[in-house]
Amino acid sequence: MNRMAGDRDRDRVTVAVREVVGRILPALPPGELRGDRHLRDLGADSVDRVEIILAVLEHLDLDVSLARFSELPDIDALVDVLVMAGRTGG
Amino acid sequence: MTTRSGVAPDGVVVTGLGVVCPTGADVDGFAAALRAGVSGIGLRPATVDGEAPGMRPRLVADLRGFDLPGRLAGLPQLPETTRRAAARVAGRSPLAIQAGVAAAVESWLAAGLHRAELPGERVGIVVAGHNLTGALAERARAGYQASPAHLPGRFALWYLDTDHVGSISQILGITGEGYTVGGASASGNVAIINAARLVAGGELDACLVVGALTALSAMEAQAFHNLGAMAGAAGADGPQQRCRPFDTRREGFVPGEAAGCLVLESAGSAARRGAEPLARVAGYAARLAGTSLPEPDLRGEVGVMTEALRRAELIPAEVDYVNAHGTGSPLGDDVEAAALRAVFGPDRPGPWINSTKALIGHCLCAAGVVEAIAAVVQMRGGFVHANPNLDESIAPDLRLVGRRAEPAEVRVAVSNGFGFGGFNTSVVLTSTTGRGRPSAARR
Repeated sequence: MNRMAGDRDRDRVTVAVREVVGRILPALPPGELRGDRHLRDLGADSVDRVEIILAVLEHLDLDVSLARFSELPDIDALVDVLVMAGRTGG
Repeated sequence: MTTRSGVAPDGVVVTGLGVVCPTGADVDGFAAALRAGVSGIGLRPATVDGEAPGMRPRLVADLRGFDLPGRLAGLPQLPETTRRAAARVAGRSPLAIQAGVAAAVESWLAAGLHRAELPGERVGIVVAGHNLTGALAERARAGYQASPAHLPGRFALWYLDTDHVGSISQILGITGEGYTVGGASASGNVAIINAARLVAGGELDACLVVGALTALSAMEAQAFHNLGAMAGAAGADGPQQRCRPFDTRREGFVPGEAAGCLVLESAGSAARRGAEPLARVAGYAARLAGTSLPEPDLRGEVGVMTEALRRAELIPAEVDYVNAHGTGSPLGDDVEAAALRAVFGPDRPGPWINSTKALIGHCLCAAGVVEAIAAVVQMRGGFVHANPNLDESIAPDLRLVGRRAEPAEVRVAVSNGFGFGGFNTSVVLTSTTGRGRPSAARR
């Protein structure tokens, strides 16, 4: 996998996360959604966070166990897991 | 000495009302619509799949155009933190939850509870209703079948009838006792009775009684229709003429979508806060018929009206108005007419009688709450609303309101609620204005 393809994967995942978070947290100003934040810090409650992950998985047509998302420190780490899952087919 | 079983020494009063219904976005709108005799009944588009479209129930009084953010934006006294909490908690919730939140918020403001004079743990919430999520389940099924793994986890909460309790308590900071209660179409009165007991027993100073919007799935509606309880699809009259309580041409109930909320409070708490009592919950009674069937129960209906009046220390002749259960079902209306005749006797003119279901349909689990609100609105407005489709009464000896509203001084109102499976309930509401407690001179 070359660097440019990796960036494209990352961009695609980031766009999906932004789209889903915007839908589930409509009151969140778009600038708040930074990679170093945790979804919890953005006001997502425990059920919102599960919903966001499931909706992103559906959006990207991925099949990943929810357990893999349980201890992630921030949104960058979430995107990393999703990019990796996309490369390995889930 | 007279015992006043079921009612606190200082009594239980209504200090707030809220409603979202097919003819009114709030209590003032509902009051104006009741006075004008506006009907909210229409015809659902014929989009049903399958065979026999002529045998599909399509009549409904739905909540077209309801919008929670718009509704909350129209409440300038609503604290900004509460508005944000409502958007956050219920912004994406199903219609039933959003309507319940709107009604609860309106009643909470009307009661002045936003001034936070009562600690959260002294306020409770009783939600009237069960099996409230049939329509939600029906809509979600296609997505589930396409991809079970992606069903939003939130649905596990949305499918709970108790989501009303959780959502409203979170938005309004209510931390006293709370739960849902069920009694089929009598659920609303069952909830009023439970909340009145919590307040009368001193468990709470105030309790929100939420009548939950019952959104039937197409399958549930068809089952009611096939049972013979629901008005059908085919008919020569327009949709607004099809719900005909106590009329010889009645053919069954029309489902209505509404949510309502009453704030019940101890008279002492209301007095300490300076909250105006809008009406008094003077008595109530509930009895089972001992059946699993839908048949009405004459003995039980007579029993609950009689017992509720006895507990209110009132005699039938003192009743000014009855908000009948009056669904427009053939057998149900006959039996209720017989029960009214038995309770109120041959003395004429007798109380005014109407059925709010003729205008907004049968709001099922919410009906008792919405109809108690209608009773208070009429009591305070000095009128009784029309029975707009009463062309030929099945009971000419009863004083059913005709096709126009009548001016009336209502100091004592009885609100009936009966449900499939033998639920019989009756609630007595009395006026807090005018000539004072109606029977004071006679006791």
